[in-house]
Amino acid sequence: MHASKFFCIALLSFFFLTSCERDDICPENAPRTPQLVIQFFDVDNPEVLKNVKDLVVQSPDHDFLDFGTTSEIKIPLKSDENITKYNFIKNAESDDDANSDQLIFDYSRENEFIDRACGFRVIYLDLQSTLVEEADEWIQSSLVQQSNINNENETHLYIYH
Amino acid sequence: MKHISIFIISSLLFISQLSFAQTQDSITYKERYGLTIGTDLSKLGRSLFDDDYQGFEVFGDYRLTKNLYIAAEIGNEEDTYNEENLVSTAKGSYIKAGVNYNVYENWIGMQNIIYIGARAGFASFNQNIEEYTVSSSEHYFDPDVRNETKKFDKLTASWVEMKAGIRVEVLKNLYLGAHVQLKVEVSSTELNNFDNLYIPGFNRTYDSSSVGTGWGYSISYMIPLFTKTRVQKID
Repeated sequence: MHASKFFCIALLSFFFLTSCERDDICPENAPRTPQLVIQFFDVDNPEVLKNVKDLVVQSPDHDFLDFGTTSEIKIPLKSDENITKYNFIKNAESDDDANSDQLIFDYSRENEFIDRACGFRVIYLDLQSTLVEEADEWIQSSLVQQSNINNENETHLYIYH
Repeated sequence: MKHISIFIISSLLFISQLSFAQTQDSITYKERYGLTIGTDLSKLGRSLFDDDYQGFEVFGDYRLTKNLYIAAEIGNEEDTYNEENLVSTAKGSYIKAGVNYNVYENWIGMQNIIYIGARAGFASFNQNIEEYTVSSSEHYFDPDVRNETKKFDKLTASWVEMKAGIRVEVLKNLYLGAHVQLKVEVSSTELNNFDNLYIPGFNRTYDSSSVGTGWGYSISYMIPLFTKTRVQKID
């Protein structure tokens, strides 16, 4: 009699313990795949930040990212390919003055294990930035400041316009 | 009549010698000594009900003295860490050896145990990352799900374990038991760009410490080998 009672208690404890969730949660401030940090500078005054009016950024076949008027943005790079293309559209609100320039970013990638809760992230190495040549460009040039992207604490790319 | 009474009296005396002999101020009784072998039922149960786990453990212990047993466990486990962003399976075998010490004072004739035990454990295993999703802070591009498997072979780990448990005789020589474990990892293979998420015999590891826990319940049978006669004084 006491054996079956013992077994029932043990079985209940077993089910209780196995239903407990793993309590590992990836915290908000944990390292993740970093985005590309870009600052816009005045081509005539290269030390001075210069706002881009109504900046919209878009990777072909993807959504439009509306940044408004700003001189600093963060955009994601593709983690499954070594290349990401972006259209940078200035004066996006205007029908007549909108101007789109394309930059092609090339890089290599490395997987980095964070921990069991956060899993893996990708870091980008040897970033190169190429401006696609066309007739009416508002972007004059781009300069890679930090070719290895593993955090968002510093600016990786300067764009001069 | 005389023969019958002599027969009855001698039979009674003979029968009383078989169980325990009562001398003037002490009782003599027999303790059973033997080899106990058993299996962990909780691992069997978990293997049935948990899709992410397969495992079994058999154990044995041998009674050295009234309260001291040497004990060992052997097992094999396969455990899958199955979360949205990472799926990884650890699989391997382990062995643990040590002693149990009975702290329970049994009534005469009973063989129940409440014990404290210590073990040294060793595992040999491998890990296999099956799938992971690259962690990102935005959702602009589609989730990057990688299905390329990544194997880590010939992994080993060792630890020390403290155990506390109870074993109750439910039928003659048949026991049911339950136990809890507290363990500390001593060593484990360092991995390049991954962690040992689970070690067979140790259970899951924790990122910030080398401590682990475990529990289980078991069924076992004691093969009786010999008995020891003990004398207990009566006040």
